Amino acid sequence: MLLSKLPFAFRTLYRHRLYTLLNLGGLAIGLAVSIIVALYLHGEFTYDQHWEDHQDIYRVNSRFDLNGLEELYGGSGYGLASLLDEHYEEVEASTHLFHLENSIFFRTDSLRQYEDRVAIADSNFFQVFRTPFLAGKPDEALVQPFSIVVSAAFADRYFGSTQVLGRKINTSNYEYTITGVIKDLPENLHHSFQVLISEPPSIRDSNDLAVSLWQVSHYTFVKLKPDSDPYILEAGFDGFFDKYMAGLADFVQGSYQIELQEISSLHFNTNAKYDLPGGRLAYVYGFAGIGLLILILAIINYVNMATARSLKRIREAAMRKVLGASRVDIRWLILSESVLMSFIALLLAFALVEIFTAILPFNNAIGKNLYLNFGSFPELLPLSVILALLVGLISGSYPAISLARVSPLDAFTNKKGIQRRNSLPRKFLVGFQVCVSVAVVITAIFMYRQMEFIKNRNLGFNSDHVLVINVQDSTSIYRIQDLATNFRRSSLVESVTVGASSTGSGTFRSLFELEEEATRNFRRISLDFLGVGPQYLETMEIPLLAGRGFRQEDLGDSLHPKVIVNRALVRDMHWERPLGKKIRSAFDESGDATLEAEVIGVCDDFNAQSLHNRMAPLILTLHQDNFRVLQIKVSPDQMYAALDDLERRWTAMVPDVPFQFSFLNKDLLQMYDEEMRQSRLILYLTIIAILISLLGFVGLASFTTGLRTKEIAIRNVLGAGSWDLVNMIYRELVAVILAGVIIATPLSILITWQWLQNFAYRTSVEPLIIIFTVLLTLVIGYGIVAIHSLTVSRRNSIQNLV
Amino acid sequence: MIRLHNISKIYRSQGVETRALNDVDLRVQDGEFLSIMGPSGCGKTTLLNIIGLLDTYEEGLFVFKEQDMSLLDEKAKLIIRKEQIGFVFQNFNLIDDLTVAENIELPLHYLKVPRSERQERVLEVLDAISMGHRKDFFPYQLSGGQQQRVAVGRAIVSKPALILADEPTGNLDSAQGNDIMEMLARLNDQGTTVVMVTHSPHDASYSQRIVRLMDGEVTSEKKVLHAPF
Ligand SMILES: Nc1ncnc2c1ncn2[C@@H]1O[C@H](COP(=O)(O)OP(=O)(O)O)[C@@H](O)[C@H]1O
Ligand SMILES: [Mg+2]
Repeated sequence: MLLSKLPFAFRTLYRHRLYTLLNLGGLAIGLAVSIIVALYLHGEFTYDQHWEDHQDIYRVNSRFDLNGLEELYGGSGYGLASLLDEHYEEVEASTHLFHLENSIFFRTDSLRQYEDRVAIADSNFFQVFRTPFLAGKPDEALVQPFSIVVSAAFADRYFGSTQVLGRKINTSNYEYTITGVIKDLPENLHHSFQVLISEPPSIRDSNDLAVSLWQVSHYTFVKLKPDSDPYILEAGFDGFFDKYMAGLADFVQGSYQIELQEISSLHFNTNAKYDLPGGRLAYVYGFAGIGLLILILAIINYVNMATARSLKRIREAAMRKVLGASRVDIRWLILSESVLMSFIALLLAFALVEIFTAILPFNNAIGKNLYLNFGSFPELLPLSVILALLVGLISGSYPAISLARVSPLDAFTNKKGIQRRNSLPRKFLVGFQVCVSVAVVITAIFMYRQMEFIKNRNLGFNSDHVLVINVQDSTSIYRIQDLATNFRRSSLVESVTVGASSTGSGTFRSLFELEEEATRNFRRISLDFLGVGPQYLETMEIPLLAGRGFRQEDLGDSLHPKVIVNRALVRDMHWERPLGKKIRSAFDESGDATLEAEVIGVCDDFNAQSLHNRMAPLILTLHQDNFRVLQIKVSPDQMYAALDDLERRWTAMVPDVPFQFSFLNKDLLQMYDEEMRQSRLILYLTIIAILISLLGFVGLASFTTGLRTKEIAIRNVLGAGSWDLVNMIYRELVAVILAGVIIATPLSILITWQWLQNFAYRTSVEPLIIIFTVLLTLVIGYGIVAIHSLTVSRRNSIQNLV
Repeated sequence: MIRLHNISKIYRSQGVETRALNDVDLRVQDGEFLSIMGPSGCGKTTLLNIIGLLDTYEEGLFVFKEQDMSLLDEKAKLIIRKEQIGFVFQNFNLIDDLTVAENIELPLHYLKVPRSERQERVLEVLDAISMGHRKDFFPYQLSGGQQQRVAVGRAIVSKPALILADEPTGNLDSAQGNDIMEMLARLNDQGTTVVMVTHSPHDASYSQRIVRLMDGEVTSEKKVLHAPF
């Protein structure tokens, strides 16, 4: 039935080209957005499903209870993997993984470059995580020390081939032999890597299992035998604990329990400490929601336009009935048109998606790798076909039903009553559309503002004009203090500080004993600490509230350890005279602290972690063993001269190591990379939503003016000026717009407020923005109406009277 | 009141040129009742539209009340149209969404006549076209003759100096038609100039002069002798 009507449908669509184009455009954009959102969601919800038997693979998380303070860690201690394998028969294979935080400098004869996403794994890794090898044997690849397994893309970059078994590649410190090349892994892996290095022998030798099991340092994964219940491992852990870990339990005054987490759930469940950044369900639902709304907007557009045109086709439908068409005939005719339309729109949508993902830098901007691939997402094609069919049927049904009901008599009379009856549902649809687009726009503006707020927030320290040099090879680590001294001699450098990590990149946590104000007893608590060097506060411009900062001569004075605390810690400890208070740490086997440090200064709170976390009590320690980061404040107006000078000084001292640096403020922004990408995606979606709403409004305006062409002509003859007519049409629409806006506003405030709960620091919901959006909507509405009615009334209006 | 000299109008559509009017000369005196007759497609409506300032012309001179119309812009034409000219169409062209009274009131609205005066005028007109009892009806609830009466009412409510009627009886039966013609004749007696297009010799006999058009050209003019009854 549908098929036999197709030729007629084609002819009608061709005859009304402009209408067809507007309609198709809106629908195609709506479908394209749905497809992109579907691709995005598919990526997000199939994290880590790449691995064979992924449902049997679990990450072993650690739950510590230290002095009543319970904490969950995504990592675990060294040695746990092999012991679990030994202890439980349910475990089929187990492995350790360790991500290297810094970029590694790789070189071959043809290429030298820093590479991210490098990890160390034990020899069982590929027994747990099965993945296709292009060269090498999975079970043997990581057995020998200094072996390296690389992705196909990596091999291609450095050697121009993937058949590179046995070839050598160097880092600053070592030479590695390539023992495996794996097929490129998909992007959606929580623990992702492009290079795996085998364990160095030193790790195995130096680790005392009794101690290392209590220290979170690695990620442990187990693959259970098919149909094993992970709960058995957790429930039976007491035996394991007694055997391997109980020895130190009294000493640390704590207990330990493992928790198994399915790897496919890692991406959205990153509330454990020592975990990699994950996805946020709030965002994902946000996109899905906006995507769905855009689709609904597009459908409403389509329904509106089809309805509008169907009113002009009353006479045609009536005439067809006079000539013998039945209700069913007419219904199928209209439906076939709209289904045909939505399938054409689907084809266009696929083309749009292809253009966006393959040609435009869309993926770059949102930091994803979305592309149309019916192979890896087999449900996509049937889903889109069903969607298109549904959209076609839904949008065609109202005009189909109402036109089928037209009486043959309408062919001869010009009953306008029909139009009046129809105007209410139409107004409702348009009101809904206005409501949705205004809500989307307001919500998006607030989301964008929150992102900007995060970007520009005062972190408590000044990251401008601060250079960060991550020292990664042993030569320069050894000479790091000399480098700092040398840099300080430059007149273009304001100050230099050496530390364990760059500011804002996170803190460490340990157990401390702090002296109480009144009782002079010590309270034992777990606290964040940060190893910094002399001149830290000066370089970061963190205000000193009392006492003094670390000086160069403090480094030599190991007999009298010194610490600086932040304001939050002073507040939490209720210290009235913080200076001189004692803080103990480094506990021996009987649980006594072996080190006692004195508080020499109090600094203001600053964001040592990302803004997802609140500023917490913090201890700054002076601990030079693991100094590997130089932070250098250079003279603001002589940036480039300063860079040149620093490079000269660096090359003079460590000529073999390339001078590599970054800017602290840019590094900090990278912590919000995900958010920035999200906000950019939201921005795009909003633009599309606005575009579709505009299309819809144009449709509505042309519909309203179209219906009243004749009336406009009559009024024109009787002396109405052009603006009289614009105002007349607008008056009819303004109520609809206002109703939409009134419902949209509280809705968007509610959504925004919910979403903002994700952030520790957030912007306010600014009423001016809402007012501005509403006014803008009214003005844009007026503009569109004006353009339309002006063209209609300027067109020779007497033509419309005959 | 109206002087047309060598007026020509050419329609261009899809590459075809139609010469709807060809060097038309026409004068209409103040207070005259003029009929324009001629076969379908000879340019009657086009001529009337030009006189009504609804359409433009390619060549010639058009003087209305001693004013050269070619010098006026759209806005000035709009003002003349709403102050001086009333229109009656073959297909009535009432606004479907407005009641009888509202339709009649519309021209006063655009003339920015104060509300109380508007209502007064509308009542007078309703009385004159004897539609007072139907003033809250919508157009589709009326017969053709009644609708045309309302259209005439709407044309005269602003007391225009000139009424242009394009086949006002074309869609009516003869009783209804006569009714309309009587109204136009009465208006003319009160001093309003009327220019009417018609196919019907009977209707034309209400006027004082007939102009014949053929293929866009004026072929003859003759005085009408009033029927003795
Ligand atoms: N908009 C138009 N485009 C092209 N030709 C037109 C247009 N309007 C009228 N015509 C042509 O101009 C001629 C005169 O039309 P019209 O004045 O309507 O005739 P009448 O009213 O005497 O029947 C006709 O041949 C008609 O086809
Ligand atoms: Mg005509």
